[in-house]
Amino acid sequence: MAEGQDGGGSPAPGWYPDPENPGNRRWWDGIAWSTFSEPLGGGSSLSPASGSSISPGTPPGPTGGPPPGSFPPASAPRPAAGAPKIDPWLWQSILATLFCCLPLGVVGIVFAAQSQSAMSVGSYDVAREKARTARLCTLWSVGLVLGLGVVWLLFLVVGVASAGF
Amino acid sequence: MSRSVRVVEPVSRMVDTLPRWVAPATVGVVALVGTAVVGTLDPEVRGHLTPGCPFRTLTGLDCPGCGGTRALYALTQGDPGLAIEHNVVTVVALPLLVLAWAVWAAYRLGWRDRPAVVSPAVAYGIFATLVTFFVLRNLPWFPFTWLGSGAG
Repeated sequence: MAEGQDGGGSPAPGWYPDPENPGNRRWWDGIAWSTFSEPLGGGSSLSPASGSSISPGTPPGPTGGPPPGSFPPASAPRPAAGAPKIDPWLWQSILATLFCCLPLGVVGIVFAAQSQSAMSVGSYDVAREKARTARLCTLWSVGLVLGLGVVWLLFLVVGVASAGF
Repeated sequence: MSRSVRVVEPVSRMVDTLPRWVAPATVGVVALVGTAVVGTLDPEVRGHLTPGCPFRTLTGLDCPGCGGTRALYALTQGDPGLAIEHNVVTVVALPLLVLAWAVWAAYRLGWRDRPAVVSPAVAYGIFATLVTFFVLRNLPWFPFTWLGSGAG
């Protein structure tokens, strides 16, 4: 999953100009735009030669991101103050495990746990990817159960209707 | 995998365009209404109206959530002992899930700086607990039978 960043299908994860809000930059997670957007400038230097941008003088915020096309900042642990906010989808996965009756929720818990592990060592790109997979498992599990419920309801209605005649 | 992402992504992007309180409010209302409905219907009656656990229907085994709805009903009737007999993990998890929802809602509303995060050890511990419970509750010998959902 996270290893596929150099696959060439879509741009590598990183901060890119926000297509919806020029003047902002937005986190691209490698597959889709995230909700994390912040103003450009604000003291952060986005000079092309920002190879050594993670210096003690770097202002807070996940700065130091490369301009489009340069190497992703994948494994460089960022200062905690600028750590991106990632919801690992742990409790949501637990909820799905207990109330959606499908083993998919357990898979979600594993990915949520992996996400928290990655976060604890500062690998935020991996953490984001794992959290996305946990979310995927949880939402699919909820969606499938809702779908089954609707089908069940239809059968029930048809059954009651045909029993009435 | 990527096809699944394509189904989920548009949905979550739509959710992103809604005000931030909508998601926690929806989850909260659904949980409250669900609890109210479960609490008013005796499982003997409800069992004929609602589908059973799909995993149990297919395999005949208890999933980690089997007995959870009956446990919730027992709790609304003020019988925690019966609730624990149906599904002990759900009974323990419910207050924690309510807490997690509250933390999440606070984060979504901007009252809290970051989402709910526990240490990796706790997260893996939860996973191990659920898997162990999943296996043990299906063993046919006492005292493990006590962990089962008690469904016929």
